[in-house]
Amino acid sequence: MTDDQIPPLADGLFDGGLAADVAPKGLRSAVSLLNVAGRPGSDAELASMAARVRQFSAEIHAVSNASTRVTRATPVPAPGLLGDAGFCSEASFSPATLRSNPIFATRVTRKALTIVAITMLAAGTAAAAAAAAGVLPVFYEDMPTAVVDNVPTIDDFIHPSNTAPSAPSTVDDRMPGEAPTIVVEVEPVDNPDFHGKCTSWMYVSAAEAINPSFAPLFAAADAAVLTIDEYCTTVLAAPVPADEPLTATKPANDAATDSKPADVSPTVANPAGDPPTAAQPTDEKSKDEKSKDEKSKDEKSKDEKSKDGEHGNGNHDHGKHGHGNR
Amino acid sequence: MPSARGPLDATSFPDVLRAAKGGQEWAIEELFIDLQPRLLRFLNGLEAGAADDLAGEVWLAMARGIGGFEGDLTGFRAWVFTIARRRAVDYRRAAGRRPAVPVGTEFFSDRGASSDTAAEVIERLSGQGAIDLITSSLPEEHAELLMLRVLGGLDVLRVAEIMGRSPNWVRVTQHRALRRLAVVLDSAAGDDNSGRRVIPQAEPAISTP
Repeated sequence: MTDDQIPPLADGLFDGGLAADVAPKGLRSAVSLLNVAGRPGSDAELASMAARVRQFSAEIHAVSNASTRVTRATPVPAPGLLGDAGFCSEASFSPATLRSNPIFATRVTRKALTIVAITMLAAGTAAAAAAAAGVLPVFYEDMPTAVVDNVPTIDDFIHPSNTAPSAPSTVDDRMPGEAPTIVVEVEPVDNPDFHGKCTSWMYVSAAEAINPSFAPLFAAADAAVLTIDEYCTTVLAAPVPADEPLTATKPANDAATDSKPADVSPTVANPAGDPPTAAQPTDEKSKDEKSKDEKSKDEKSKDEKSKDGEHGNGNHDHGKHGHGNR
Repeated sequence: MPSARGPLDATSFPDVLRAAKGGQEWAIEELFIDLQPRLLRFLNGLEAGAADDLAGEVWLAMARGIGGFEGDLTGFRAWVFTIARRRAVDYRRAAGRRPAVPVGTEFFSDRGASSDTAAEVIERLSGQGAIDLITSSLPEEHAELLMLRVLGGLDVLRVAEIMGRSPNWVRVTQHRALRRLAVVLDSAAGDDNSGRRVIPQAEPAISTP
């Protein structure tokens, strides 16, 4: 039978609703059977309606909730980069979420997050290296003044009275085009531990630098926004506490001269850079040195008081305040 | 169990679809009353014994996909029967080809009196009984085509699309199927009185689990 010979009978019967009355006599039984086949459902066929409708409705709500979660979801951090806190709980990976969130998309998200995290780490490392080398742009080099001036030090918490929070910053007083004045806050330098640790730090190798005993030094240097070398240079340049055994110190580093208080000079310097010695040469010498220290501290405190009266900014002098009292 | 809102038709379908997408149970019931009997009969015709499970999978797939469906009632039925047919094919592949069990003369065994005509017997059949008779009387493709046309209410083009055939093949095959079905029914009604077999054993077959 070719296409031209196809009788339109069956097509017409189906499209016309399969009326058996209009069907040819030979097809009436077949048309009647098809009409019966298309009858409305019986009670037995609709017995599961309540359960199926509830299941259908619940699934629709689950799908819509899952799509909402996918829209609002925070990106999944890459495992291992952000620690245990970066892992997602099982609750956020419901089956509905997985169905509507293809594996490809999840992988892409994780890759993207990994790339972003690595980029941020690299940028931070590069910025730190640039800062250490002193090759930061002028804009960034201006930043330490503003940042360091507002960084609270441990001294602020120990002696709140020394702090003047509402005092104007020196950055605000600076005239346009004037070179920035970098003022560095350092930890109390009369801590015997810091003198000892800094002295040790100057002579340790790279492998020994990870010794946990240097951890307080790292923390103090971080608080002062300085490298360990800069911080230790400042510490070692400060007067040695009276109760600490006199030790030889390495000559101050030129790189730290900007951050070193002008009126503080190292008590004992070792021009040759010899390793420190714990023994005191003589008792008389130590007495002379102690008296010199006291005199210099008195002079220094007078200078500081006069400076405070001029600037009214107590933040600048935390490294000097009250050293003689401790 | 008729719907309180009347049978689902092309006029009321857009509102029902919109409400069903929002998970409103009355709309889902409307769809269920209209589709579930057709689905069960269709799936029973393809895979007898697994129709309930397959219908459950179809409804689950509908729930997941109804949010993205746009179209009229005919398109919706075509979508649903496409899902159902694919589920049945998957089930068949997974379970392996089952032996076909010929259906005997039991469809006409309940004739009360010899004066009853074939039409009267057919009228006493249930919807599922009619489908069983069709699937047992026709080759598988013919029966499937008729089920899609009758149960799905689909036109030639949509049936051709679902079955992966040309529209002309559908037209020719549906005509042959009707002719063959009529011959089988007439011969069954006539032969049953003489005690001979009503349905040939060679062609009709349904699958059982």
